[in-house]
Amino acid sequence: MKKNQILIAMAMVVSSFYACTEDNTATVDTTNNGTFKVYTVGNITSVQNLIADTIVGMSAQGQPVGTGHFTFFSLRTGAIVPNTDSATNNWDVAFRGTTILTNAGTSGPGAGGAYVHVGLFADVNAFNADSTVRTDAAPVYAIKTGSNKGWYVYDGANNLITPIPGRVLMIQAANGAKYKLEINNYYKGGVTPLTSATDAIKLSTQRYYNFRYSAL
Amino acid sequence: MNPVITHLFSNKLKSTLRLYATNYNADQSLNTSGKSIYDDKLNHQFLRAENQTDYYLNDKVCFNAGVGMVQEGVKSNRYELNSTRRTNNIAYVFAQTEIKPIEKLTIIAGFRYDNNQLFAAAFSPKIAAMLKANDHLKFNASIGRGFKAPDFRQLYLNFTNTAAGGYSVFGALEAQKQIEFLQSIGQISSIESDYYRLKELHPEYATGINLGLQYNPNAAVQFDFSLFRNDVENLIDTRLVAYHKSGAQIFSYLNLKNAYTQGIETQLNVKITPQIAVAAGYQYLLTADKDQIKEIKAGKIYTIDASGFARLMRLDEYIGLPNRSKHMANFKFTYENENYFTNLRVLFRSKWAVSDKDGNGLYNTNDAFANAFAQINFAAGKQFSKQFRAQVGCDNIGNYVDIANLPNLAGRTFYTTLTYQFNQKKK
Repeated sequence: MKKNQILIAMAMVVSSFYACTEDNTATVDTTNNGTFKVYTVGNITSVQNLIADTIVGMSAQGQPVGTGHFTFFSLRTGAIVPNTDSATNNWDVAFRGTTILTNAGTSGPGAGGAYVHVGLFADVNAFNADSTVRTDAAPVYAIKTGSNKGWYVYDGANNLITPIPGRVLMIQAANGAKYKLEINNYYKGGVTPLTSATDAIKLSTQRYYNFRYSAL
Repeated sequence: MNPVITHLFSNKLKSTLRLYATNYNADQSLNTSGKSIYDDKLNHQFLRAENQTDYYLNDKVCFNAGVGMVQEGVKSNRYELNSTRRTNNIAYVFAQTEIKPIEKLTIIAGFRYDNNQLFAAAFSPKIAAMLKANDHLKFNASIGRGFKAPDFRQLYLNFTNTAAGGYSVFGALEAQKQIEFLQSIGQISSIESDYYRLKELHPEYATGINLGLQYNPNAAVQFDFSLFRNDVENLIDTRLVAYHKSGAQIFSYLNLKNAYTQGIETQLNVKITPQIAVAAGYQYLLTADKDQIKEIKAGKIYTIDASGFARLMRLDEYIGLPNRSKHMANFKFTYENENYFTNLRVLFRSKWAVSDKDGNGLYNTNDAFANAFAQINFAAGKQFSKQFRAQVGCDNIGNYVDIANLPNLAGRTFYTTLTYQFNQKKK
């Protein structure tokens, strides 16, 4: 019920936006039905349910594991890039569980990189001259992994991943173009399970990235 | 052992020497079939010697002062080595004066100075005043500073509960050492940001101000009202610092700087008839971490909007410390005569923050809360003879359960107790 109200509210925001811009023709369906979707409104592209190596089983130690493959994505085209292109400049960001790669260093041949900006997505419109764009040097990545280090916090008591509000990923694409990206949810349908949800639900609905980005 | 020697030098000067010694041994072993063995050994020794001297100058002024020493030692397999005895020695002096400048006013001022072997010395002054306006109305005010030293558990604990999922609690002096060791053998899966804040644990200091009044218009009615404010520096709090490879949590203790609690407390007791009494109490409580308030005011704290994207958090969305309810109330009705009694108790707690749902590291209105609840308990009993007594009761009549947030609250519970007391020797 609440979710529907939110979606209606979002749809209203979008439609009112359309009323005063003419750069798009058809109305965009922004509802999040749990499937992968990319749409652009104005200069902001939204991505829903980008699957990032969902859990397929348990390790010998009882830890949930995926297949180990990254999902590659091009910020320039707004599309998923096949894994066979992982060694090319075709992709800009890649996702696997909570790990995010950029196309440079140990991750790829591109001129990519990233840093994490603390602030609001709407307020940041350029790379900060004082911030260093870092490149991946596995196992240390430009966007740090680990709870409370990069983009997310892990609540171990409830086994949930939550994006830290006010973290904007400043990403340099493989060709050096600059983007800002904000993750809003890590679960299928863009809804974090309740803390009281079963582990089975928490495991089966995680690793679905929901985010928005803009070219700078 | 608790010997006391009192010597009256004169009817104005009295000196008391108190000695107190305990030795406590416990050995608990729990063997659950198919699970790990839970074993717990503890030896605790406590020695205290104290001398207090009281001097009555006149009806209006009296003094007392004293010195004392405490020696404490603990040995436990919950600490690193069961063979190592952890000890601490505290020497202290205190002095207090009580002055009655006028018949209706009493002023008490005093201090205590503790020299703690493990921590820096602490000075704790206090001043209190009580004004008896008339036979029905009393006012009191006090301000004092106190401290609470970390205990052995908070310093040295090295405990892994193998019987309950393998979570660990390490004392602040042990945590870094233990976690570094576990990490070196590949037994740590991740480290939390609070791990990097681990350091030597300091005592908690609290400054408390209390203003109160007591009104009893007649013998059957008493009304108490007080305003309180406690400013705590270096509040000691349990924090999650790392995870075992198994996913089990590792906790330790941190000084959480500069929190405050403030509020109002009221209590009304009415004896309607000699048999029937009613008591009602209410507490309003506000809490906060002052450093977090500073960060919010500086515009450094964000929360999420309906779509999950970040927006700035406002100060009015701040909740303060978790696990504390803003409103708490209790009500008690009792009926009692020579051979029959019954009572009804109602406890109410408003919602309280339990987890940081929006991921911003503090507690605000966008987070997860435990629901407000009321618990109603009823009991009745009858005394059949001097020896024999029967009682029936029902706890939690409303059958309120919240397993996640109130694991100790059982559902509706009926009980009966029969008590038979064997003849006692008459004194």
